[in-house]
Amino acid sequence: MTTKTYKVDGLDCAHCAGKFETEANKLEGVECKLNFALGTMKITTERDIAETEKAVVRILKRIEPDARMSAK
Amino acid sequence: MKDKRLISVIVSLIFFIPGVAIEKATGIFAAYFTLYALAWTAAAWSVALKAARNISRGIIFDENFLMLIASVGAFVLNLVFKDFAELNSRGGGEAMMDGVLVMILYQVGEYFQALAVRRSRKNIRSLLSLRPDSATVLRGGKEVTVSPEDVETGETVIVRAGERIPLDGKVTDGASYIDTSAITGESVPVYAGQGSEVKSGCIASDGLIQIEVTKKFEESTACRMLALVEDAAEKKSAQETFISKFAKIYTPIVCAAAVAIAVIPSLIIQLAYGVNAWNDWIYTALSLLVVSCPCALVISVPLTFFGGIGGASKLGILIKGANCFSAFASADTVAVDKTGTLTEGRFAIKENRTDEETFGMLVACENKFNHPIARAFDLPTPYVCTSAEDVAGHGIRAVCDGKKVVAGNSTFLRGCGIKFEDAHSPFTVIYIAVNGEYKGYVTVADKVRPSSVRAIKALRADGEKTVMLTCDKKEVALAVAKETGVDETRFGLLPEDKAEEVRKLQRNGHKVIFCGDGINDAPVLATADIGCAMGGIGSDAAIEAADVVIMNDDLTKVLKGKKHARKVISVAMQNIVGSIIIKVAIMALAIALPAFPLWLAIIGDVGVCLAAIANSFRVLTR
Repeated sequence: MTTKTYKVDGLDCAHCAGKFETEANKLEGVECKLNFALGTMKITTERDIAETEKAVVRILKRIEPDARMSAK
Repeated sequence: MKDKRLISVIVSLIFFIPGVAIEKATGIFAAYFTLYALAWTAAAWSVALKAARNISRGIIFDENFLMLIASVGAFVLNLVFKDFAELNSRGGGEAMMDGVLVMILYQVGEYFQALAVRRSRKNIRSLLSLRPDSATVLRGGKEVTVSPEDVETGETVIVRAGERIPLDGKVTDGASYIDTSAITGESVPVYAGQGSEVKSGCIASDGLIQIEVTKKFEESTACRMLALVEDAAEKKSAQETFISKFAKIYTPIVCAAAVAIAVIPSLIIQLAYGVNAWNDWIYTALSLLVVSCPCALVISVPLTFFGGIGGASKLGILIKGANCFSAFASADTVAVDKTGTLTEGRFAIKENRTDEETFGMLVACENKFNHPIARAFDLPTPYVCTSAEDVAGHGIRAVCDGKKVVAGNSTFLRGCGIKFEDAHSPFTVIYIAVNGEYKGYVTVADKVRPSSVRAIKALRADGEKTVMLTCDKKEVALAVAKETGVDETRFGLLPEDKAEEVRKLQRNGHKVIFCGDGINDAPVLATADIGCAMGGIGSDAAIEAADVVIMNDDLTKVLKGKKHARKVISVAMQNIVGSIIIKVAIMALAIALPAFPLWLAIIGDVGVCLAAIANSFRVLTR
């Protein structure tokens, strides 16, 4: 079990943010908590963190191509 | 991204303004149509792209798509219904102009919205800027700058004037006035000299201090405070839950209504009177699509609550979840623990009924010891105590300046065969005899904090019922009750009894805030509607059980926090109710007034969103 917090930039629409969080939580063994007000996302995963990160970024790019996620 | 939007808008305006001029001045269709189409393309291409992408993924009720439909719809109406102008008593390309304006205003609105969200985030982040970036640590006689995570307990860090204390610790050298405002919300600097405990996140305002680190970075105050505040947003308030439910049904309902408005009235009019009114009603339906986006609510309400958490932390009050605001704001009873909360939790001299010389000698003798009562006598004295012995916690027998001093409670003095008068005090009495002769007494008591008296007075003035819960005996409890002015007092309570007392109050219909310093208070903190742990993030059990943590011992913070919670709730309600009312009003106007222009609908919609975000800024300030 690994937990890591990321900074999410360019996700300014709350609607998209909600979608992003829901979609990311559908990944198996992954729990994501998005803090819209701070622009941060806490990812807890049973899988490899780098692999999870890639999968989450892919989801983010699909929902909001201009948004970026970086390690905090 | 925001710049892209701005460029789109500017390019669009370059075509749009001449377009309007040509339309009004000459009315040459081909000319203004070309300009409007170019203006529309400049403003709408990114929106169209997003909408297309979302549709390909099966998301239809997307604001990009709705805006696109509204503006394309206006164009199509203008082209299909050539007589549109006459029917609506407008200029030739009015609907087209509206279509372009929708896109321009939508982009401008989105631009400002992103700006507002960013500004709000920046504000919230700056409230939480107590995270130290680096630490200067002494290693092998040299100063090394490292990340605070890499400092071990027992190492010595150096903090210069103006620097943030990176880790919790004890001052080993130097002295400084510490600005604790980031942690406690108090602006008055606190003196820290050798031996003082200092907390990370505070700023040394002068001097240079060396600190022996007592806690690792993750366990230090600043880090734990930040973690608590950041986690707080995960607990959603009732209002936020309502909004996300509302948003889910709102958009589809308005879209369905738009379709109904576009079709039903026109069909009825067509069939009943044989009149063609399709363009009018379709146009009205487009206005509905424009207001169908629940953005104002979806963005502003979470921002309000999180901003509220940030604003509270600026006051030195940590609120552990957005769900706590409502109960905090509406609680009508404040139950307070006595020892350590209403009082300072340590003994101080209350009354001195003896002569100066005797008192001086007593001070000298008590200074030999370190139990709670002896610490009350931490005063300078010219007398010298040469030997002193503690007798089973009842008193002391000592020699001071060659005289025999006996001091203690009544049992002890009686046991020593000394005659004295009973002091009849509710407090702890120390009777003193010098060389076998009774010399009077001194009473010590746990001193009431001056801030407690003010706090209770202010809470009562605000309409709250105040109740003191204490494990102490009746006499002491009543004396403190009288001094602080609490409405009710319950004494002789065990920790479980305190929880039961709170439950009793709750059964009588009260919403109860319990304030305690956390020691042994976990059950009652958990029972109360709002458990308020005083004195910072000391014990884990207390923080776990509490809903609110007050970073210092100041009970007046309870009312400050309560007022802040009320403000947060009222701003959130203003945003919810205000946004819904304005949206409904726009819908009603669009349906009632046939000439209601599309651009006014979008201004209303984007405007209310920006106003709601701006309103949410209010919770960041005091």
